[in-house]
Amino acid sequence: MTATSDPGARPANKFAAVFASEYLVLGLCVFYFLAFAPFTEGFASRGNFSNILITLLPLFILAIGQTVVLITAGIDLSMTSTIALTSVVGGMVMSGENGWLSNNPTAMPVAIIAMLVVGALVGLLNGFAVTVLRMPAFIVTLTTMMFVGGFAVWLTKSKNIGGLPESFLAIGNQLWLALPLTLTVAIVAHVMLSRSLFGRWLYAVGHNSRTAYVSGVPVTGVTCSAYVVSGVCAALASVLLTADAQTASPVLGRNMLLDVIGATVIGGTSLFGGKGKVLWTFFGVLFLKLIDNSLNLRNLADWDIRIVKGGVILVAAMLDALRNRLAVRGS
Amino acid sequence: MNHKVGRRCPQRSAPREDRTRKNLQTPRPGALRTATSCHPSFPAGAALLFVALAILFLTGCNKSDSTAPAPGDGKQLTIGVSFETLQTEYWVAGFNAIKGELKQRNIKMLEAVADGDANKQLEQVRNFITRKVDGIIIVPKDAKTIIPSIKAANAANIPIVLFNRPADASAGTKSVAVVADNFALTKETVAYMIGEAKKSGKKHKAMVIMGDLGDINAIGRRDGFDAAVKEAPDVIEVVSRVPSEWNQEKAQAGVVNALQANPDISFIFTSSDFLFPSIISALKSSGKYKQIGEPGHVILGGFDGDATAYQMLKDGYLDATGVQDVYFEAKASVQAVLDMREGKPVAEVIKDPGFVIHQANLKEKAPQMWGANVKQ
Amino acid sequence: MDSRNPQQPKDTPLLELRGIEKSFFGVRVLKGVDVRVDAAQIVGLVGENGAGKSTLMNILGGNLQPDRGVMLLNEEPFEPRHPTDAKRLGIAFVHQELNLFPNLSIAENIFLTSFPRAGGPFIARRQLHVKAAELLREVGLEISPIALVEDLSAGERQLVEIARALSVSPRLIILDEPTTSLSTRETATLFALMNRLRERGLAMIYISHILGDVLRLCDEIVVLRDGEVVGNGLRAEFTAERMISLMVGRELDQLYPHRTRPDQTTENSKAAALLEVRGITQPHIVRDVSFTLNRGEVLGISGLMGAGRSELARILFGLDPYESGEILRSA
Repeated sequence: MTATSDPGARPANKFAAVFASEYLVLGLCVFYFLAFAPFTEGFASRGNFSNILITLLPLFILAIGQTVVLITAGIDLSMTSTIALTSVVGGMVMSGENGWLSNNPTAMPVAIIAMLVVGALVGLLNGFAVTVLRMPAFIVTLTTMMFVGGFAVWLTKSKNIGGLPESFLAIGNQLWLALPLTLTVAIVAHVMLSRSLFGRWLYAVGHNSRTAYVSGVPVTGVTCSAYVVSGVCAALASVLLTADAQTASPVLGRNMLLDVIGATVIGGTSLFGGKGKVLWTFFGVLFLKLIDNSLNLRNLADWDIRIVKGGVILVAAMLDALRNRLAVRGS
Repeated sequence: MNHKVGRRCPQRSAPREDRTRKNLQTPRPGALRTATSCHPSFPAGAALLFVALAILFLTGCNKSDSTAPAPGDGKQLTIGVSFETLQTEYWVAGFNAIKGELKQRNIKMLEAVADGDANKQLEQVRNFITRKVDGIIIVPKDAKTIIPSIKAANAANIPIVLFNRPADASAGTKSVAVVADNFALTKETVAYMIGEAKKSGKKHKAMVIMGDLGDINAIGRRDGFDAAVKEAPDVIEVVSRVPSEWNQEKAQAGVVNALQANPDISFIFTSSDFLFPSIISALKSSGKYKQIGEPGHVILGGFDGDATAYQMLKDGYLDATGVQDVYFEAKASVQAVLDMREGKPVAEVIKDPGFVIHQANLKEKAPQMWGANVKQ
Repeated sequence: MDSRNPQQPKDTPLLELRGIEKSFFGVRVLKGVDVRVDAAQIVGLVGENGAGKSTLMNILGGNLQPDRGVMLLNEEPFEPRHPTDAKRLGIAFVHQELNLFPNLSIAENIFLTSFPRAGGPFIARRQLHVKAAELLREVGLEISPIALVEDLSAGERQLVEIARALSVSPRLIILDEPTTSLSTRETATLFALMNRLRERGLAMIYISHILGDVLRLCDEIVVLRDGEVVGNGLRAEFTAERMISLMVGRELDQLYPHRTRPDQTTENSKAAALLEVRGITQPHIVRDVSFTLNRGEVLGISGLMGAGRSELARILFGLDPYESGEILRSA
C-alpha cells in the first residue's frame, strides 16, 4: 500500500498555501515595515530599533510562556498579575530603601531568585486548579489574576518601590544584557518544545487530553508544568520590565495581557491547542510591536491604537479558527 | 412538488474519498465537523487582513496631515505631552489647557496618554525622543516611576517639565515641576470655611476626606487641612478622617459610615471635588444636604475647582473650594520648556498659588475657574 | 491468506478468563464470562451493542477491574490496574476510536510513552525514526515515519495504531471494530497483516459487527448476549444466521414483522409522493442519484462502505452541498 496524500487537508489553492505557511506573519512584518517606513519619521532609525527591542523583549518572554500554555489547550490570564506580584516581591527584597536586603551585594541575585520562585508558585497554583481540581483554565487564571493582582497591591499598600540597585537596573536598559537573557529563554523553550519528551507530550495533551491519558501520558504533570513555565516566564518578563521602569510597581504590566495573547495568536499558535512554536510567536510579537510603535510615532491616540490592534488580533483569531476547521475537515 | 430544498453550490477543494467515523471521544471545541461552507473563506480572510492594513494606512495618513506646520516663520517647535491618565476632569482640563496654550504659541503638540501604565509612559517618552521633540511636558503617576523618563530626556538633552506632580529630587535628575501649592491653598480654603463656621458661634464636628496617600498632592492637602484646623481648636473638632484613596466607592462608604457614627457632623472638607457626587449622595440619604442659609446646612469645602463644584457654588450648596489655576500651570509649563531650551535658569519647582473661590467672590473669579469653563 | 489450519486446543492457553462478573450502578453487565485464547489464534468476539464486549475488553486491557472472576495469562494470575500494566505484560488494545494525535508524526505517536532517549529529557530522533520505520515495514505501511498523522487516511491510521500495539512486543492484541472506517482494500490489507501476525505466534481477539469478516478471519468465535457467553466454538461450527440467532436470542424469521405494504398504483403514485430526488451529483461523492419517496413508505438505502449512503443523507438534510440535481418536496 502506497502513501496517499490527502487532498483535502492541504488545499490546492495557492492563496491558501500562503496562509498555511508559517512565515506568513514574518512576511507581513516586512511588508508593513517597508510600507510605513517612508511615511513615518523615526521608524527606521537606530534609536527606534533599540526602543522597539526594549519593549519587545519582555513581551516576547511573556508570549513564550503563553505559547506553552496554549499548546496544552489552556490559557493563562494571570500572567500580568504575576508580573506585578513578582515585581513587588523583588522590590521588597532588594530596594535600597527599607528592602530586606538593602545595600547588600547579594540583594540582586536573591531578589531575582525570589521573583522566579514566586512566579513558579503562582504557576503551580494555576496548574493544580486546572489539573487536580479540573477547573477550566479560563476561570482559574482569571481568578488568580484578580487574587494575585490584589495581593500585590495589598503588599505595598499600592505604593511603588524605588531605590533598586544599579546592578539590577542595568538589565533593563542595557540591551546587551536583556537580549541574551531573552534569547536564552527562547532557545531553551524551542529546544524543549521540539526535541524533548515533555514537548511532545505538551502537543499530545493539547490535542486531546483524554486520549493522552489513555495513551499513558502523565497529563497532570505535563499540564501543571506548562503553567509553572508560564509563571516563570512572567517573572522573567517582570525582571526586564521592573528594571526598565526602575521601580517595582504593583500595577506593572497591567495592560499587556491582550498584547501577549494577541501576539501569540497572530503568530499562529492555536487557541484550540496542539499547535504552536516559539518562532511563530516571535513573528507575532514582532508584528504587534511594529504596529504599536509605528502608530505611536504617527501620533495615533492610545485608544485608536487599541482599536487597530484589536482588529488585527481579531483577524488572526479568525484565521486560526479557519485553519482549525480545515484541518478537522481533512481528518 | 414545488419546494426546492438543499444547499446548492460548487465545491472548490477536492474532498476526501474515505470518510472517517465521527470521533466518539469528548469533542474539543472545533473538533466537530460542522457544516462546510460553500465558499472557502480564504479570500474573505485575505480581504479582511488587507482591509485591516488599509485602515492602518488611512488612519495613519490622516493624522499626519492634520497638523501642518505654520507657513513662513521658521521651524515650528514640537512639544510632546504625556499624561499618565485622563481619568478625572482635572486632567482633561489640564490637557486642554496645555493644548490651548501650545496652539496659541503655534507649537506643534504630540499627545500621549499612558492609562496608568508606567512602562507605556516610558515607551511614549522614548518615542518622543525618537521624534526629536523640542520639549516634553509630562504628568507622572508618581515621583518614582517618572525617573527613567526624566533620565532618558536628560540624556537626549530635551527639557522636561512635570505638570502638577513633582519629581523625586533625590534622583539626581534635571527637571522642572509646576505644582499647585497644595498645602497653602488648602489651608486658605479651610480657613475660609472656618470663618463661616465661626459665624454660628457653635463648635462644629468635622470630617475630612483624604486622597490617596501615595499621591504627594493628597498629603499636602491633608497637612493644609490639619494646619488650618489646628489654629481654631474651639471651632472645629475633627471626628472623622476618611481615606478615599481617590476612589468614589471608598469615599461614599466612608462618608456614610462617618455620618452614621456622628450624625451631627456639620463641616466636611474633601481633598478633591471629584469626590463630591459620593458625598452629596451620602448627605442626601441622611437628609443633610441643605443650602447655605438653610438650617442644618453642612459647611462644605473642596479642592480642584471642577464643574461639579462650580454648579454647587452657583446653586448655593458649596461654601468654598480651592481652585488649581490650570491656566497658570499650563502657561508656566510651556514657558518653562521654552526657557530651558534657551538655556535660561528656571526654578526647579514652580508653584501655582491658585485661589479660593467662595460665595462672595464667585462672579469675579468664575472666569479663572477651569470648572466653570468646562463645556458640558 | 488461504492457509488456515484448524486449531488444536493447546494444553496451556495463553489467556483464560473465568467467571468474569461486572456491574455498573447495580446493573449487571457481565454475568460470569469464560473465554479462552491460545497463542497463534484469532478469536472473534461478537454480540449486540450492550452485550458486554467493550466492558470485557476493558477489563482485559486494564481500564476496568472485574467484580468477580479470575484472569490467567500463561497460567499466572493477571490483574491489571491500569492500561500500562496490561501493556507491560504483553496485551495491546487497539481501540475503536483511534488514540492518535494528528498534530504529531507517526513515529511520535507510536513511541509517545516510550521514546528512545538521548540523555535526559531529549529524544533520540534518528533512533526513533529507525525503530518506527521498522514497525511500519512490519505492518506494510510504506510511509515515512516523520509524516504527520493528520495527513493519513483512516486505513493508514489504523495500521499506525497496530504498529503502536506492536511496539510493545505483545503476545495478545485486542482489535475493537477495526474495519468500520476502512475501505474494502484497506480491510484486505489489515486481514493480511493479521494473518502474518498469527503466523508469528501472536494471539488476537477480534471484535466486529461484520459477521462475514469474522467468519473469514477467525479461528474461534465467541458470542456474547446480555453479559453471558451463549455460543463458543470453532469457526466451522458457525454460520451468519446462527451467530445472529445467538446474538439476539431468537430465530431469524422471528426478527422482523411481516410487511403489509399497500399496493402502489400509478394513479396514486403522484399524490403519494413526498420527496423527489433527481440527478443529485457531488463530484467524488455521489453521481446522478434519483429516487422518489412516497407517503407511508420506508425506503432502505444500502451499499458498501464508501458507496455514499451517509453522504447522500447529509446532502438531503442540507448539511453538505451538492453540485447539480434537484431535491423537491411536496408542499
